[in-house]
Order: sequence, then C-alpha cells, then structure tokens
Amino acid sequence: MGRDDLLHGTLDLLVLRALASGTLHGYQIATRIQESSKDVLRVEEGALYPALHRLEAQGLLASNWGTSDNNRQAKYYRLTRAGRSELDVASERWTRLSAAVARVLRKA
Amino acid sequence: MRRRVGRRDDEIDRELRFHIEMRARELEGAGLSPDKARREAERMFGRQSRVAAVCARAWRHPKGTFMRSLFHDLRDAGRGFVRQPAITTLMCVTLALGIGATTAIYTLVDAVVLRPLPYEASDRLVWLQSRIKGFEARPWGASAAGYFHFRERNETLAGMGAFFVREVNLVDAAGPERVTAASATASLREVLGAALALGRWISPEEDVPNGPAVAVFSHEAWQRRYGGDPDVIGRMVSLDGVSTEVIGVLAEGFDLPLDSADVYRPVRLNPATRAVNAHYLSVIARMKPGVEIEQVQGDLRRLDGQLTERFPNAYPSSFVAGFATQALTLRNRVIGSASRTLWLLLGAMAIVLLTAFINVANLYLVRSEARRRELSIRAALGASRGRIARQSITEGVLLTSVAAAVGLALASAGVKLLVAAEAADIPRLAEVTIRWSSVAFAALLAAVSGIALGLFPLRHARADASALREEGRSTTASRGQQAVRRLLVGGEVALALVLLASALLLVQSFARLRGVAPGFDASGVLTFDLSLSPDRYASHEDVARFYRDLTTRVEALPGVDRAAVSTEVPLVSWRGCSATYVERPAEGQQGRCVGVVNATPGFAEALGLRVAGTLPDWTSHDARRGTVLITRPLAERYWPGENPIGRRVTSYADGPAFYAISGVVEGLRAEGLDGPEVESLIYPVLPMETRNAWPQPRQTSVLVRSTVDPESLIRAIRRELASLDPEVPIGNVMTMEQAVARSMAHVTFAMALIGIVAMLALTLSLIGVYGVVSYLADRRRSEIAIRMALGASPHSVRQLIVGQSVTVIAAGIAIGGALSLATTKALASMLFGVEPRDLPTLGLAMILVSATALVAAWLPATRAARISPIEALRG
Repeated sequence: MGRDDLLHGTLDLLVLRALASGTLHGYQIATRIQESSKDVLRVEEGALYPALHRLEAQGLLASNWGTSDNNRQAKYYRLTRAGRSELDVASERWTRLSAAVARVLRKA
Repeated sequence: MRRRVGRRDDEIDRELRFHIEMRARELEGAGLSPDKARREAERMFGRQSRVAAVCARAWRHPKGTFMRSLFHDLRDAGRGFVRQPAITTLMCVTLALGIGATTAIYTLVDAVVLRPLPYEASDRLVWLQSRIKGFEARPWGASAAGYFHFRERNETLAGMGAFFVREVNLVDAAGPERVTAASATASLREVLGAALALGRWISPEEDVPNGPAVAVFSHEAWQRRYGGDPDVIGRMVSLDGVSTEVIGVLAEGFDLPLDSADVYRPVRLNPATRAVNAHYLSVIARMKPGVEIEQVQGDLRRLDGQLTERFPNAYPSSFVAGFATQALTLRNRVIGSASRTLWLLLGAMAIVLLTAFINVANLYLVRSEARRRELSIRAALGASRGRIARQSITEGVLLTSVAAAVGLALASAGVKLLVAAEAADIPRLAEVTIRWSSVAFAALLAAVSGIALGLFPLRHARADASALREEGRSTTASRGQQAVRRLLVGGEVALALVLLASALLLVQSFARLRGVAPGFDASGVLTFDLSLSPDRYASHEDVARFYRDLTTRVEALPGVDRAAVSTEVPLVSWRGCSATYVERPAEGQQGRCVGVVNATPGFAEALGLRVAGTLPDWTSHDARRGTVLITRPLAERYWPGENPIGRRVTSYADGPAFYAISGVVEGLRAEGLDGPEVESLIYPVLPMETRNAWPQPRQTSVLVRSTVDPESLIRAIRRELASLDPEVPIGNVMTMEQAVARSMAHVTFAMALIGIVAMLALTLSLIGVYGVVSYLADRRRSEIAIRMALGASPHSVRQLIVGQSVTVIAAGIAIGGALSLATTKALASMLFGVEPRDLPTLGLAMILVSATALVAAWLPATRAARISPIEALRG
C-alpha cells in the first residue's frame, strides 16, 4: 500500500465528498473540488477518471447518462449507500491522521 | 461479454470527450479561438487513450482491487525478504528441510501404507500360509494337495489362485535371457482382478496336466524385450527348452504381490497325483461378501483337521499336530510391520517439522520486531486490521511457499535416493514416487505454516500506537513464553545430541567395515551370472567342458588375467551347506553342515584369494584327482594345530569318495564383512565319480580379473559367449567392488538416513539457539545500551548474553546424553566394531553439539555487544 494508497485514498475521499450533496458529472466534480479548496487542489483529469471508474467498479458510486446544461449527453455520478458510509469512515480516518501529523509537527 | 466490454470502452470515450469539450468551452469563454481552445483542452487532458485504458482496467477485476492489492502485498513482502537476505535464507532453508523431510516420509507412507494394493477390491484378498513344526522361522506356502483340498471344501472363499516363481531361460529370435517365470493357476487372474493389455490369460482348459505350453508376458517384460510390439501374440518362444506360444500381455503395472514375474505360464497342478508334503505354492483367495478374516481362519482350521484323514501318507497326525494353515489379509502380508515403522518415522518427522516451524517462528519474531513499528504506524494511519492481517499472511505464505517448493525438490531427490538404495525391508518400494498427493501434502504444510506465521506477529501489532512510543520496546515477553522458548531450545539440543551420537556410531561402523579385509582382492574383478539349460548340458562333463571353453576364450581376450566359474561368489551369494564327513578310520561321525562351492580352476587366482598349498589347473581338474580347497577356520576345526594338506573329506555322501585337501584359503569373509571367516570347502566342477556326487552346477557365476574397463569387457565376453552357445543367458553383471559396497548397503543406508536427520536436528538446534538468543538480546537492547553507557565492555555484554543460554544448552546436553545411553541400544544390530554405549563417541557428539550451540549463541551476543550507548538516550 504505502504512498500510492494514501494518494488514492485522498483523491477518493475528495470525490466522495464532492458527490455528498448530489449528482454530478466528471467535469463538475473536478470543478467542485477545485472551488471548495479555494483553488489549492487541482485535480488531474488523468487521475480523476480512473478514480471514478474504480469507485464505481467497487460499488461506491453509481452512474447514469443524462443531459447536461448545454444539452449534451454526460455521465452523471452519485453516491451509493456503500459510498456514503465509506465517506464517513474515510473522513474520520483522515481527520485522525491529519490531527496526528499536526501533533507530530507541533512537537518537532 | 465482448459487446458489453465494447460498449463500456465506447462510454468511457464519450465521457472523456465530453470533459474535453467542457474544458474547451470554458477556455473559449476566457477568450481563446474555438480551434485553439480545443487544442489546449486536449493538451491539458493528456493522452486520452491512456486515461481510457486505465479507466477500463478498473473494471477488469470486478468488485474492487483484490488482485491488484494482492500483487502489491506480494511485491512488498518480496522486497521485505530481499532486504534481509540472511535471516530470510535461514528461515527458508529451515522450513524447506522440515517440509522436505516430512513430505519424503509422507510419500513413503502414502505409497506403502495408505494406497490400497494394486488389485481389484484388494481389501477382500487373503493370503494363505502354513506354519510347520520345526520350521517356524519362515512361513511356508501350501502343497498342491492342500490347495485342492482348501479350494474344494472351503465355505468362506469366493475364489482361490496359486502360483510359484522360478528363474527360467527364455530364448527367442532376440537371443537368450534369464527371466522370472510364475507358474500360475488359471484362476489367479480373476482372484487378483488383473487386466490384460493384449491377447488373453491362461484358460482353465490350458491349466491341466499335459495342457498346451502357453505364456503371458508382463507389460514391463513385453516393453523391455519386444519394445511393445503387438505382433508378439502367437509367436513361439522357448522357456527352459520348451517351445511355448505367447497368448497375452498383462496390463501395465500389474505384478504379483511380494514377487515379481516377467512371464506367466500354467502351473498345471494334477489333483490325481499322490499328495506330497511340499509347501511351495503361494495361495491368494478372495473372501465371499460379508465374510471376515476370522471366519476364514476358522474355516481353514476345520479343513486342517481333515488333512490326516484325507492324505494319511503326506499329512500324518504327527505332522498335523504342529501344523496350521493361516489366513492373513494380503495387505497385512505385504506391508506387515513396515506400516508401524513408517508411521513412527512420520511421527518423528512431524516433531522435527514442528521444531523447525517453531524455530522459524522465532526468527520471524526477531525479524518482525523490526517491522513492528511499520505495522503499528499503518494501523495508526487507518489500515484496517483485516488489511494488515492479509498482508502479514501474504508474507508468511510467500515464505512458506518458496520453502515448500524447495522442500518438494528435496523430497523428490530424497525419495529417489531411498528407492535406489532399496531401503531394507520396505515393501512396495517400486511404487514409491512423488505424486500429486505429495505435492498437495507439501502445499498444505506451506499453507498452514504460512498462515500461522502470518498471524504470529499480529498479536504484537495490536497495541496500535504503543510502538510509536518508545517504551514499546522494553516490554519483555512474558515469563511463560520465555520458559517455553528455553525448553524448546534445550529439547532441540538434546535431540540433536541423540541423533548425532547415533550417526557417529554408524559412521564408525562403516569405517570399520570398510577397513575389514574380505580375504580377496575386489579391484579389477567383474562378475556375472549364467545359466545352462539341463537338456543341452546334461552331464558333469558337458558342463565342465563348456566352462573350460568359456574361460579359455575369455582369458584370451586382451587385458584379462584370469577367468573362472563358480557356484558361489563371496559377499554376493555364499549360501547352502552340505553334510560333510572327515575321513577318520574307525569312527562313526555326525555329518557337519559345511558351506560347499564348486569352482573351476582359476577361482582362487581370479578372486585373489590367499592360499597356502597347490591350486588346481585344468589338466589336474579334468584328470579328476579328487582335490579340494579348505578355508582356515574349518581346517582348524577338523585338525586343530595340524597341517591339513593331504587330509581327506567328503560332502554329499558318507564316503568312500574322499577328496584330498590341496590348499588352505586364508581369511575369507564371504558371508558379510561383519561376519566371521567362513568355514567352507571349494570342490571342483567334475566329481571323482558321478555316483554320490553333487548336482551338475548349471546356475553359476563367472569371475573375470582384468585390467580393462568392465563395460567393454562385458561386450567382448557376450560376443565370445554367443559364438560358443547363443542360447546361454547372462545377468547380474557387476564389479566385485560394487558387490562389496552392496554388502554394506544396510549400514550405508542407515548411516545416510540417520546422518541426514542428525544434520537436520543439529542445524535446527543451531538455528533455534540463534533465534532465541537473538530475540532475547534484541529485547534487552536498551538495557544493554544503558550498561554500555555506564561503561560495560563489549566483552562483558557478550558474556551476559551467552551466559543466559549456557544453562539451557548444558541442560540439553545432559538430557541428550542420558537419552543417547538409553536409546543407542536400538542400533546394536547395525553396529560393527563399536559398542552402542561407546563413551568417546558420545563425548565427541557432546563436544560437537555444545560447540555448535555456543557458536549460535555467540553470534547474536557479538551483535549485541556492538549496540551503541547512544540508544540508551532514545530509550
């Protein structure tokens, strides 16, 4: 696991969080993350779509094709029940970890 | 399925294009031209096809990334092991030895004991044998009359077959060969459920007195001699001069229980002939459904009671009084006591494996000490317990799988060695090979031990964050755990000592045996058997003439010093005896059973015997002067302190054809290097007078002393033989040096086996001591660091650590010494020239084991002595 897992885990968490409030397509997810982080986190498209498909394959997300604002066919993602509980667990874990890292940093 | 995959690729494509389009629109809104915006959006996205491929891959392992993370785990585990090559190799070798040895013994148990005998419903087969009063030393077969009697009158058996086995001369277009022939009843095939590969089996019409001469080949003989040619059916071959039609070939793998036959022919027993008390038939029967072996035994007891009444001459009541026909299950007869021995051996191996495993567990613990922090950090970072457990188990199983693969290779080599050595007294050895069951057994061992190993360090990872705090290091293992470890190490040392002492005793026996002078010079001597057919070599003169021609021709070959023919060969076969009388005027004497040999002139020279006196040559031999050679111990027995030359003896008849002693053979040990010098007489081939003489020696061995390579020599000899008589078969070609080695096989085998196990045990105790001392030293790191900081010298630290293990090692040595004294008695029958309780040997073993154990303790102690005092600050 190691470094890779941590990164994946983080991106996954961000994606799950972005979808917590409703159904979005890939472009909207990327924009949402960027906006909520006040432009600190820019999501690479090359990482975003594989993550979306991986989460969908794991059953954490569901998708359907719908019509976008500009009247185009787009793939919309939403959280499944499993996705919602994973979001809770992962947020908890992240909070604990960041607190621990913060403590370590304070100490050093 | 393909369509669905195709649709998914399509959807991914559309999804990604939509994204690029959205990005392009955004850029256009920011003021770029549509064309430029599109190019920029594509550039920002990167290589669309690659992203699409990665997306598609996410679906390849549905429901998550099990395979992917398994691969990661394996890779991480592999890297982890490679980082610590010494300890990994040690663990691997230990487990491989343990698994390999256990699998090898399991393979034996499986093939010999667990696997049913290769006959149809073999658990219903019984073996009939007779106990004869005064000859209880061996079980006897049935007589022909008894066979018919039991077959007709029994109430418990559904079928009965009989056979006996003997060597015959097979001659066909390909030349002569000495083969083993079974004379069998027509019923034998049905009883054993034998299938045929070709043709048919002997019919009941053929199995009658004066029936046609027919033969069925074994599959193996058919392949060997005819290369599997199906046209062999209907061909005529000669068996001991009888023209015989080949009617069938048995299915592959079929052979008689306990015996091996190349060819089967009808036994043609005659129920009408007068009953004779000759118990030469092997009888196998099939129990009726529902019948138990005890009922068969009762039935036979009843039938034994009728023997005297039915055959008063052959079975008088005086004979039947101590006589019994016994029924054994065929399985019992074939496997016998080997079953218990093998299970015991497997049990012993299991204990060795267990010790090996506990050793590895200890090493694993030492290693996982270092990884504890890593595991704990991961647990703190939120890796689930299941996830950590899985990785830990993956690691364990990876280690044990590699070990099992190596172990399986070791087992395969070991089993081959075992089979090649024809390990004494193990039945069905030819059936023993590594099969899938052995592979499965090794895999099971690997899986169980791997999972156990993987779970082992988890207990330590439980206290999540404790490893993050430094005091995690100083928590010492509980006293109970430490006591178990010490007990284990002490036991290992004791076990190693017992086995090493045994191995050393055997090594000494072997060395002493090698040092024994056999009384002949084996180097450069080749021997092979030959067999003359009775119809073409009827008289003593025919036989002697042939041997003279043969030895003369062989001696003319380049490089050959001397050639001779003899009925017996030292250390190969030196059996049989004949009542022998000394010529002594006016004194009735009891004949004494003395080993007798018939040999042509040149026997003593070809073997390099040391002889005092004169040796015969062909002229004196053919003149029938009536001379004989005697061995020194026999001469001393008959004429103590006197010169035996010129004295006269006779065997086979109580005079008057006495043979004069012409020479005395010194120091010949022909019955075994561990046996005494033999008491034998070496007679010529031609007797003085044909009346009262020995039978014509037609089954003999040729001895050739030469300076040429045995391979090319035997080719040349075959050519000479073929030009002399193409129908004489030869077999059992070997050098006398091989014969000497073979005569020591039982000691060599025991030495090799016990030596290997002893080395295994010694290695295990070495690893065990090393593992435990390393572990304990590691546990005391901070303490040691403090001591060093307070000025302790590396020397005193070493002493501290080694001293901790000295008591354990000493206890192990003491227990092992006592055990050795108690158990080496079991080896007595295999020892030669050394007492089972040989104290110097035991002392040597003690020194070796102690030294090994101390070295094993010294290494980690030296490492501990290098601990930097600075560690004390961290603690």
